[in-house]
Amino acid sequence: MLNSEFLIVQKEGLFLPNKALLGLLQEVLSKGNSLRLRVKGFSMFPCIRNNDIVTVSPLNGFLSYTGLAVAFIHPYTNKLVIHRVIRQNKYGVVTKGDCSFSIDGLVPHKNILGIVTKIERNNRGIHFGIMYGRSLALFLNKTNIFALFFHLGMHLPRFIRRVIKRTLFR
Amino acid sequence: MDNLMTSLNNVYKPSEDIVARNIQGELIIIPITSGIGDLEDEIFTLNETGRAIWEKLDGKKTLKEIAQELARDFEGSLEEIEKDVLGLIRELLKRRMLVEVKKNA
Repeated sequence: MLNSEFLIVQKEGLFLPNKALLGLLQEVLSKGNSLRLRVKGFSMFPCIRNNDIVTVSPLNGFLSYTGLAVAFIHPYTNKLVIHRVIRQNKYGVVTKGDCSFSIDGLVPHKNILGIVTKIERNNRGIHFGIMYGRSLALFLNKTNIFALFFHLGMHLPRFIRRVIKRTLFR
Repeated sequence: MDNLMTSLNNVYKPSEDIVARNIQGELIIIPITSGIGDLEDEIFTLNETGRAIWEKLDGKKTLKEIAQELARDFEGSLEEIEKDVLGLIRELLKRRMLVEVKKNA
């Protein structure tokens, strides 16, 4: 046997695979609790950025999800995803990342696990698109304006550099 | 103030205020504090020995019975194992991950 000091270890910022995270989230939410976790990816930029910490809370009888950022099981990949609800009907909700050009498809109501209720970035709370500005965020999502600016920001500098290079060194 | 006094005759079980899961061969324990489980700052794992003790905390066996069972599977004297069991139980109680099961409850 080992010394009891080493029997229990506190870990910080443990990276969990998507499937493990999904199971953990389902278990925590099923007990009526929220889960604070770090997110990876750019699909909800700029509201939720890569490495932001989000708190996902239980649905608590929410009936209208439109405009909310929700955690759900993707209907095709079965992975845990956080995207914004852009429409809903009696069969489910249609979700789309703020920074994506395409929708995820119809997500059945049973696949919706929880709602993003808090975002933290560099130890500061981020409220736009969650606490307030949800309608504006929804409009910018639906009109692909977030996605357009993000992709322009990603590709425009490279395009300009290429044009300058071709012009100067032709 | 929590009662951290524990004896080998006591019986414990995991608290309702934690979520424990085996993930990739590792036991992960997340305490739920004020209704929030925190994957960023408050996540615990037990090593192989700790996990062996944890898995026997079923709310039925006394710590003495658990130590005796472990003595059959692990090297070391029963006294050493009892000391380890008590050490872990105190650590878990300090973090409110266990609750005592009263015999006549």
